[in-house]
Amino acid sequence: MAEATVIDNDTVEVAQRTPKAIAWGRFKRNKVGVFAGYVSIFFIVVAFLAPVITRLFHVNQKDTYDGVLNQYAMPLGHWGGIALAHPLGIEPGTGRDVFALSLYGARTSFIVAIIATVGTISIGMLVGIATGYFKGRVDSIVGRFSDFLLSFPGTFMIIALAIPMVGRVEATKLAHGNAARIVVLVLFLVFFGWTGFYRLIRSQAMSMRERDFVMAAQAMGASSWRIIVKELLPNLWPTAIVFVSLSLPAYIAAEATFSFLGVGVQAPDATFGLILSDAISYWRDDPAYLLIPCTVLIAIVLALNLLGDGIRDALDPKADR
Amino acid sequence: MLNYLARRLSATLVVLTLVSMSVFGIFAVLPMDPAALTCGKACYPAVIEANRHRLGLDVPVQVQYGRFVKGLFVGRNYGEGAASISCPAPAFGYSFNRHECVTSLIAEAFPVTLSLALGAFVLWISVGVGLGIVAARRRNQWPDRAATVFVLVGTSLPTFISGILILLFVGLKFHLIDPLNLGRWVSPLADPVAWFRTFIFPWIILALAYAASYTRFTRSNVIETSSEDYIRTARAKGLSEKVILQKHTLRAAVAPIVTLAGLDFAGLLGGAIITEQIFNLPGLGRLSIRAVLQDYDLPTIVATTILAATFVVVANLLVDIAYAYLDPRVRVA
Repeated sequence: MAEATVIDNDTVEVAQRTPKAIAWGRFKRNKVGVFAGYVSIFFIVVAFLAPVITRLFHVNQKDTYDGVLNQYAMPLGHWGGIALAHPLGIEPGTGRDVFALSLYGARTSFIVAIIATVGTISIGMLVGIATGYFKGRVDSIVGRFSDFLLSFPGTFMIIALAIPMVGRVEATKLAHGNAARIVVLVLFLVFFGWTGFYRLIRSQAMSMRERDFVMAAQAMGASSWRIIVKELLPNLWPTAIVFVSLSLPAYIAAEATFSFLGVGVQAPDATFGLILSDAISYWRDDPAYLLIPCTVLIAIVLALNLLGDGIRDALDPKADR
Repeated sequence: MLNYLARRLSATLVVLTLVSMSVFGIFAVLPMDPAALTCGKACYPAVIEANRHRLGLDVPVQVQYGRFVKGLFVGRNYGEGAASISCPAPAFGYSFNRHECVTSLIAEAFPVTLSLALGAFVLWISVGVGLGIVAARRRNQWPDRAATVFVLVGTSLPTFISGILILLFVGLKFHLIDPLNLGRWVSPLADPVAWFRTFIFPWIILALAYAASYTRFTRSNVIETSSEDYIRTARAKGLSEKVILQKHTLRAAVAPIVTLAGLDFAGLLGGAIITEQIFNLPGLGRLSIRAVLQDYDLPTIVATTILAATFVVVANLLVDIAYAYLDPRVRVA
């Protein structure tokens, strides 16, 4: 009798938990994932509050400071001029504050990565559902087109096209300088990046439309719009969340890589790629100027990746284990 | 099978035509005048027009494309009379800024990229697949944990950062790389040791990111295959673990990896831009990125883009043919 009650309690408890709650519970048990989550939130908040925080520390990304460089234009003091007034040191040559540069650099990275991710997700979701659910000729045309897109050397095309395209965007007078460069970079990242997510969503939508719950909705006379919004979307969001969490760090790394190669945001604005390509020439005399921004960038990407892994394990425990 | 081959081959030719056409079209509509880029800022309009005619840029883009394709098969002359320059087939164009046929620029750069891609490929396949198998077999034990850390590091380190760090703080700091000879191309036939020294660090850096994703992919594939019914049957028959792994698990688990590897390798043959740039290797990636960043040398840019896309399309064809050979069901579809 006592045993039966226990089993009863268990069934009641299981029945009350929604898939969302189960996933959340699983995520909370993953200590590394939770920690990475806090670190990621910290980085995002700090990056977007860059103007406020730099003011609190009495530094500015555009100011060059006096009395911090020696006669060879190298930072005074140890470790690249780390001091209370300049917590991450001083940029050699110009005397700008590395802390402020890193903050604004992180902000640029997050802006590019977030807009590019939102673009990728929206286009991939829209096209994936449309082609996967309705099939037909549009599906085969889009499929061919995405295959076609994959054969292009994406990284190189972005580099080759970004420079002339920036001029074109500036000519429209909608954006100038670095804003135009960010617009072009995001457009290209989305253009060459949406196919991966589209394929994922398409295959899921395709298999889901044959499932019983969709057929039941169809039998009751639900419109396609209703089926997509009420039946398909709630089942596709785990895929989308996992994709978001893993594409954010990828886009942050991509933004850094492109600005390192000279495509993307230019001075006087700061990005990690620009700082690092500048820091190479000082590596022997001022290694801190190279290593500190490197560490910050790696920490951001690592935290986001760990968070992404945690989310994936929580939403789809079979994926990796 | 022959029928399938013919169909795939013609489809590939169509894709190649479309790819080359769109590359041509994209660069033709750019707000850039390639003729104006052939001489410096202080340039007479007459010189620009003469160069425009000489390079064949004074005709509509479809005619230019026609001449480009013809040049690929029969070679091409630029300009007329004594001052004309001839590029033998396959002529990818003439780089006015470098005063050389693009084909010979590519021919110089390709062995470098091929060396880089081949070495990195061997490294990442052996490390990635090997580590993936070990991690899957020793699941949740220390080899698996080590593999997880390796995957995390490999996927989180952007190639340009790991490249810089290794080059500066290992290669140059400990005098393992001679800065004056950084990226010096030596043929492996002439001096294998120097060749190896040039490429060892680029191989490691290029292979790192790939090895990480192959470890993850192999591990999950092997784990998934191990839970199949036929593996249980094999075990029930009393086969040894070694035989099960070699004859049953790996055969099924490795097939999708072969596809992926073929495409990744082909993607690299077009040039590993970041690795080549950091290690100063004069390969296709650096040829193309220099053409963009230095003087926007359009003939080189168009040629290297089309070449890179061709490698991927041809690799796709080869993978498909291999699949059709291994699995007859594919031929019908």
